[in-house]
Amino acid sequence: MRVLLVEDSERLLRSITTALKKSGYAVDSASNGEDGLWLAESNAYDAVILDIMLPKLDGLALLQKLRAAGRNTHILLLTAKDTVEDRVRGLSFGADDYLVKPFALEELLARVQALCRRAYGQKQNSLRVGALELDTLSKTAIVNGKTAELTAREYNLLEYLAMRPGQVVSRSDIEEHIYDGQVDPMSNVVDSAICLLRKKLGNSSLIQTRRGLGYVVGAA
Amino acid sequence: MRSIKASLIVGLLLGFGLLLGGGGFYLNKAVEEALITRFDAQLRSEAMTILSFTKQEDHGADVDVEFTDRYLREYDDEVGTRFFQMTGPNKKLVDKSESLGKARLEERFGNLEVPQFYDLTLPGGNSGRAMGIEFVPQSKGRERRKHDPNLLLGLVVAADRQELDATLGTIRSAIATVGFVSAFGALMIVGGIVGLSLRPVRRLAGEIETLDAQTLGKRVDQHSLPGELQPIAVGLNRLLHRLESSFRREKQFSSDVAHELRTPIAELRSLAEVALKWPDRPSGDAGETDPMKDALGIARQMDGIVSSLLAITRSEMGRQTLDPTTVLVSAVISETWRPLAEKAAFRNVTATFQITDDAHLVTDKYLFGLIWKNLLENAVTYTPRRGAIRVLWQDRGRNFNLLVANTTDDLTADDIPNLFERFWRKEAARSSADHSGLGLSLARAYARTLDLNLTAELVGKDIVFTLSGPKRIQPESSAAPVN
Repeated sequence: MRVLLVEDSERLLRSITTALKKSGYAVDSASNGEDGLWLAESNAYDAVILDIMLPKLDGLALLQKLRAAGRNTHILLLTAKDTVEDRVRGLSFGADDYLVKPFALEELLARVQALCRRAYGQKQNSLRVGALELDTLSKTAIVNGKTAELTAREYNLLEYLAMRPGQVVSRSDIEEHIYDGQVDPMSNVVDSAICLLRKKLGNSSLIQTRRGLGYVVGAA
Repeated sequence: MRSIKASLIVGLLLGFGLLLGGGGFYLNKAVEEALITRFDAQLRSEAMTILSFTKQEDHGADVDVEFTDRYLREYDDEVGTRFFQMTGPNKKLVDKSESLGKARLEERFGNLEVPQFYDLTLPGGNSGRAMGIEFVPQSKGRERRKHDPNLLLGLVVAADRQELDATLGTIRSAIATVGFVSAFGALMIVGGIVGLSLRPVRRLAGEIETLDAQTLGKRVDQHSLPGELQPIAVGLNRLLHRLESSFRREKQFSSDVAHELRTPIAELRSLAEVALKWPDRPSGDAGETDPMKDALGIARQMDGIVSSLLAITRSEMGRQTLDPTTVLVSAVISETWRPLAEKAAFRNVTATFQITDDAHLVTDKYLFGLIWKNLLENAVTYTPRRGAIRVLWQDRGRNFNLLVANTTDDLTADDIPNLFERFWRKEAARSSADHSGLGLSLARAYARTLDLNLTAELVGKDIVFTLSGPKRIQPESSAAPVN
């Protein structure tokens, strides 16, 4: 899943970015509202974590602009403003969730995960596609009753495909959502990752290749 | 409960009632006097007529009153309403009207110039009015040489006043009726007019009732109000403006405090949780710093905030111990500037100091230095690149001014009242962790502790902070010792 983090506190930006990456998310970040808006408009994110008090363009104005442009990206407001009035305001501006600083890291990660699930219309904590079973809470993949040892990114890749069963997901789509902006468009990182994933799952038919189009999980 | 409407109605009606009553009384009196005067004039005329018929004879021994049929016929009527009685010396009866019969009239006499008019009871018991005069009757033609000038006669002429009294009664009734009807009408009219006139007050009250903490932005419409209420509306609107500003400042303060305190705590917590969750993560990963260094930075930042807040509180509560000594101003400024000079140079900010070598104060050197540390740090931080800072000493005899002026490119006149508010920062995002918006509040708190005044004003493109006051701190300015 690809997440955008817009936060002007350098230390917090670093900590949250680290936590998200360690949890398998591809993370883009910005330290002011203008850069954040540009990134949000240019890329498709599964979730945006947005501070309110930002330089150049504050978080609520950024949110309004995104919604006015018809972007339905799920947005979590992360802020020190904690009054009911502030929360109501933030949510009425179009935010999907609101978390007050200081916060528990686990809670932030859980809320981001919930937003990403929502992005694909998923409400349950488990996904079942054919022989594959994914527990989105514990981030484990089980194939034919056997747990596969996957890295965080590998799990996220698998989850991303499993959330769209029967749909062909293009390489560029996978790059955008699983890898951050550091990927060289000419590299075959996606192909390599799929190959490794198939080995770890022990079932190469789970993820099928559609030549020239992308990959699909759970195709008939 | 007192009521303007009730007070107005009662007051107006009382006043109207007094006027009406007074007017009615006066009218009644005037009419009564006019009628009585006319009545008296009639009596006088008849008395003069009788007088003219009265002649003395035989050296005053006899008095002849000759009537003819033409004059004063009604006095001859045995059952008349008009009476006369003439008496001579020793109250001896000279003549009287037939209408008097055997009765005698009460006698009071005036003279020809000023007759005596009086009320009396007539024979038969009716109320009457009489006129009494004393006079010397004239002699008849040929008998003039026998005239007795000392022969004084008394004449009383009286008439029944029933008709007069009836007329007066009718007039009084009419006045009273008009009075009551007017009073009732006045009650209706006054009540209606007062009610209408007070409608703007009710409207104003209705508008005020809709105001609460959430609607302080509303203003009362003063232009639609009558002139007497406009000053109230203007005053109320000013109060609302002050309240709104105050609420806004308080809200902003709460928000600023929340940000300044919560953000470093959030940073520290996230740092710690990441470190605990992924303890094997090597520090120095690309883009990452040592979490312990970050934690130390955060702790220092929070320490700075807490220390500043405590210092401000101590100063405001007068719990600062002072140690007045002779302070050489140029030395303190120079010492304070030294660590800032490099930063200023890096930003191409020029600084000039116009302080005479002998400029000195008797004050607490430590606090004075802290004031200037905050002011100069503020100047260096917020002066735009290639801007200028100027420090100027002004000797004012027993007092002084010490100013620092720096170029500014983002402050406006609206910002000036907020400069010394705690946690106020021009930049709404409050991104910089190096400053929390307490420096100027602290500087002002210290200045007050030293009996000095710290003000700010915008002069052209410069923001000028002026520290002013007596050169010598008073000994009683030392506050209670810090616990």
